[in-house]
Amino acid sequence: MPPEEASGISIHLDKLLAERGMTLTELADRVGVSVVNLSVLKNGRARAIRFSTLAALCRALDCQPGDLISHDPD
Amino acid sequence: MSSPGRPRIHWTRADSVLLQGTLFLGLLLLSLSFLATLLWILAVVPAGAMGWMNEITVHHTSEVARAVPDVTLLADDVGVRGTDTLVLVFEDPGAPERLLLALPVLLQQVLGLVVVGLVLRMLQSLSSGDPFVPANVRRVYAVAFAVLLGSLLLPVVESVCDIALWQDRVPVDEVALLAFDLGLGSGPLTGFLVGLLLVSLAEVFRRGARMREDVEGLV
Repeated sequence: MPPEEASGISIHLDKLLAERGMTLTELADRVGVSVVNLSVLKNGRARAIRFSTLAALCRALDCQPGDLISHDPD
Repeated sequence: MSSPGRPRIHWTRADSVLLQGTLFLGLLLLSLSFLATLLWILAVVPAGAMGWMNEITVHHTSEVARAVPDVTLLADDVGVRGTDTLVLVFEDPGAPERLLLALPVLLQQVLGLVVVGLVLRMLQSLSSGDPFVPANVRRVYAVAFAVLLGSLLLPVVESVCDIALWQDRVPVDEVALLAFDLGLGSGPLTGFLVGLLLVSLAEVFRRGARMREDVEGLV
């Protein structure tokens, strides 16, 4: 497994939340994931994400996975 | 899915406390017996004060007649024969003899202390909530290797010490040089099998810890 610093994966949860005027707690309630885990995801400390979590986030935020996650190889 | 009739195992806090208490007691007793053995080697304690410590058991060769115990039999359909062992009792052993007599016991106590100490540390990590950590993998492997090492090394050390003790005291051609009990009830084979079992469990534990590490940070 490559080290997490070198993965180049960015999560844009804070931007999407701000655009929709939603708090992390509200999102946690809708998605069914704890605030602690969502905070881990938002701050880029997550090492992996379940398809079920990704699908629930996309549903709650009305977006596509590509809006939530991006990859920068550099 | 669990069937209603299947018994469930619940590890409670009381179980942890009970096991930790037992292990602490075992550690204390082992430490005391280790200290007593050291004192016995240093001749602070009289030779006969610690029971079997000043005795070694040697085995006759098949050529030597076995003494039949003097016992009255109440039936004709059984016979009696003597055993092939004799016990040498060292009444007043010197410093080198005390060391040779106590060395196998000392080794056993050291290995026992290592194993009990490691199991106790693992149990303490269980109470902290996360036992599947690399430190515990090392501990399980250390326990397994201590048992394997003990099962192989102890009989060898015991035999070498015994030979050094009896060689000038018993005719060499009347005593078996080495004698191992290969039954499953006791002896090196049992220790070796337990060691192999523990190595297998250690590997399962190592893989479990690696999987645990993989899911850490999973959202």
